[in-house]
Formats: sequence, structure tokens, C-alpha cells
Amino acid sequence: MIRSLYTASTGMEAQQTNIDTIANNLANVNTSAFKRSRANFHDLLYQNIRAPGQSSSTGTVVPSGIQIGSGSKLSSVDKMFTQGAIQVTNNEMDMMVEGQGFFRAQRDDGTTLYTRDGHFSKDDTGRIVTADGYPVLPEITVPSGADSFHVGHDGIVTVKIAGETQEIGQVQVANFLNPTGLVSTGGNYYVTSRASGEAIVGIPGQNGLGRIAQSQLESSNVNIVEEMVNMITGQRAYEINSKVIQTGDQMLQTTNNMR
Amino acid sequence: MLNGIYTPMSGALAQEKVMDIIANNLANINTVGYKSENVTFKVLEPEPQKYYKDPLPPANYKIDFEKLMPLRGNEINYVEVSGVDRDISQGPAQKTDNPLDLMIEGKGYFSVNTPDGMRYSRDGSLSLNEDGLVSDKFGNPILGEKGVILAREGFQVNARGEVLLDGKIADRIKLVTFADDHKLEKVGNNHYFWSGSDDQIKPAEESRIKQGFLEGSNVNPIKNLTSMIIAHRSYEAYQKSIKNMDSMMEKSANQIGVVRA
Repeated sequence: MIRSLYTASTGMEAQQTNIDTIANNLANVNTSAFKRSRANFHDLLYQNIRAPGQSSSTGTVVPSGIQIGSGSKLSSVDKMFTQGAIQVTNNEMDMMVEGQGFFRAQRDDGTTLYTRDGHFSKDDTGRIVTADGYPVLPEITVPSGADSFHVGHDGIVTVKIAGETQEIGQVQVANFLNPTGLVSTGGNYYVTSRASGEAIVGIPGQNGLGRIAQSQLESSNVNIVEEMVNMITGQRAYEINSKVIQTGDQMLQTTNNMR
Repeated sequence: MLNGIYTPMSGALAQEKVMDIIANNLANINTVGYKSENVTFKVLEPEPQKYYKDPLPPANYKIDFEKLMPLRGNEINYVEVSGVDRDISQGPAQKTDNPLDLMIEGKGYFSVNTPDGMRYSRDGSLSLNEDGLVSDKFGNPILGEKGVILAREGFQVNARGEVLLDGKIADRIKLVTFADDHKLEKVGNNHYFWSGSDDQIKPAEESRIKQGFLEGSNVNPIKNLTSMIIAHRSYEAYQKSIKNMDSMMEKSANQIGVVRA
């Protein structure tokens, strides 16, 4: 009796995290290059009153045992690294990775940050920086007086100085064996972890890395309909579990009123 | 009289178990690959009571069947949970578009190599580790027929469960079936444990794999909520019955057996 109360509470707790995850996805529906998350659940330990396949007192083998589970638990919240929709911005500094890969940027403390968000601009010295002002790696400085900034599919950046085309650098992308293992740090950035593996840095368009598309941004890969449906199922599952708690409570109440 | 109170009590205890099972089903209503459970009951008949003429048999006791009162079975039936049946029907397909999500269509289980030994699972929400090893959400490798599966250059699985690498078949997801699915033991973490012998494990030839889909929980909320109402009300009824027995005993103790001055 008491157990069903706790079992249902684990269900409510799991669904609460589910809704939290969905809320964050929906809050970032317009965040460029945002990757949606998904909560995964697993069942908890079972109490074996009688294991299946065990012999009964009369010598026969019991066809189905008695196992009573103790609820569900969150097993992971995974990032889904599927491609977001393309948004043409006509801003020459905007870039997008078409396919797999991350841009690299350097934080002030020297940490390498990885991001899919190619909303770049120039700082006061002409360096290409992210929206937060972190320089993009490898550092590319646009000389003053340069115009018609152009980025090729392979990441090569060319500008026109005094009517002459000049190559000033190449944007690189990094990929991971397990991108889901990256740690989100906010600000659309990720840092590596033990689970993600080392960054494999390369030239865009080669070895399975995505190509660079200029003047485009990757929009969020959150699908509103899908999230709404998940929200409905999450909410109802929460409700159903609360009903179990109510019923358990009422059963305890009848027990208390027995005498 | 006193025995009568135990019959509804056994019923109430059985209904408590039902509530526990329903609570677990409903807690796992969004757990991938979870299989719903159902309780079955049985009548528990106690040993027939033997009535001897004397409270203790004499020293030179010899069974004399004629002098023995006929064996009288106990008319009181108790109820007990006899087993928990698993509904192994296919759960609903949920489209996720994630290449690391696999769904088994038909019978069969994934083989998971855990530190505690082989476990089996219907949960196909897979992950990669830092070496590109295909594993479950706890880092335990999911086995192919040739052993562990590495997905360094993307992960592609066709309907037959074959893992494609550069367009060539590199391995096949190891799907297994068992002589009797109901003998699989649930051990949590979406894993099942097989306590039988290894020769009862057979490859699942007819099952297909769907990539980008997950098998949802097959818990039916309507069925479970209805069962919950029934369990709740039966529990109440049993308790009313206990209360009745109590008041009857109270009458016999305080009214029939009253000592008058």
C-alpha cells in the first residue's frame, strides 16, 4: 500500500523533468542553432516475491513470477543533433555548418568552446568573433579597408582589398564521435567531456564534416508540434500518477476508518 | 467466526499488491520499451483440518479409521496473488528521427553486455561513447552478432538489423528470442535477465528493426485506471466485510455472552 504511493511519486518526478525539458525546448524555439533535448526513462528495481521459472511447493515450475516494480526514473537527457532549418539572413558575416560539425571559439580563460551558432561579427581589431565576442578559431582578422567578404563552402575566407581578391584565412569545423556527450554551457556553446571524445578538427566538406554556407543561419531544430504532443503525454502521465497517489491515500483512509 | 475475518483480509492484501503493480505500470507510462503487467489471483486452500476424538492421541495410538471423525476440509477460501503476467504485445511506434533510436518490430530483445553479465532489453534509445561504441543509456555496449558495434562514421541500420558502414554490411544487431518470454525477469534499467540455459536463447529471425523510431510503453492508461478503481473499491468492500465480522464478534462477546448480575 505504502509502496504504491512512492512508486507513483517516482512517476510524477520523472514526468516533471520531462516537462522541464520540453519547456526548455519550447523556450528556445527561436534560438539559432539550438538543439532540442529529450528525456529518457527507465524502470526501477523489482522486488522478487517469486522469480519466474522457480519451482513451486508442489514441484511444478511457476509460469509467471511475482515481481513488483518500484517505479520509473530519468536515465538521461539527450541532445538531438539533427540539422535545423536554414534561415537566409543576407548578412555576410553569418555562417552555418551544413551537416556535421561545430565552429570553434576561445573563451577568455583559454577554454575551447564549440558552437553551431554562426552568428559572427567583427570586433574593433577586425577579428571574426562570436555573438559574445569570443574569437573564432583559427583566428581570422579582416584587414581595414577590405570589402566583399566571402566565405567558400570549404571555409576559405577571401576579401577584396583595393580591388584585389585576397585570401585571409580558413574557417575550420570540429566534430566528435559522440556529440551527445558534449556539455552545454549556455550561450549556444558546448565544451568537451570524457563522453564526447576528442575534437576531430578538419576542413569543411572533408571527411564527413559539413560545408560552410555563408549568409545563412541554422534555426532551432525544435519541432513545435512534436513538443506539444510530448507535453500533452507528459502532463497526462503526471496527472495519472497523481491519481494513483490519491487512490492510495483513500485506501489508507479506509484502513484507518476500519475501527 | 475468528477464521472468517481472515478471508477478507487476504483479499485486501491481494488488492494492495494489485495497486502496487498498477502504480508501477502508470509510473512507467512514458518509459521506452516498458511492458505492462497484470495480476492473476488464485484460491488458496488451507490444509484440511483433522479432528481427533481426544486432544492428544494415546500412547498406544493406532490409526483406527472408524473412530476418526471424517476429515473435514476447510470451507474458508483465501485469495492470493498467484502471478504477475506480462503483456508482451508491441508498444506504439514513436517517430524521433534520431539515427540512434531503434525499434524492434515483432518479437525479440537487444543483447546488452553489462558488468553483471548479459541482459536483454526492448529499449532501443542508444548512445555512443567517446570511442563511438554503440551502447545503452548506462554505457553498456549493445551487441551485434560479431560483438560490440562501433559507429565512427555514422550509424545506419536497415530493416534486417544489419549495420551499414560505407554502404557495406559490417555487422548485424543481435536480436534474441527466448523459449518463454514470461520467464524473463525484470531487473530495472529497462533490462531483463534470463535465468534459464543458454540453448533456450534463439536468434530472432523474423523481427525487423526500424531506425529513427522508439517503441513506447504498452501500458494502457484506461485499462489501468479502471483496474485501479476496481482494486480500490474491492479493498473498501473487503474492509467493510472485516468491519462486519468485527461487529458480529462484538455482539457475541458483549450481548450474547453478557454476564448478568
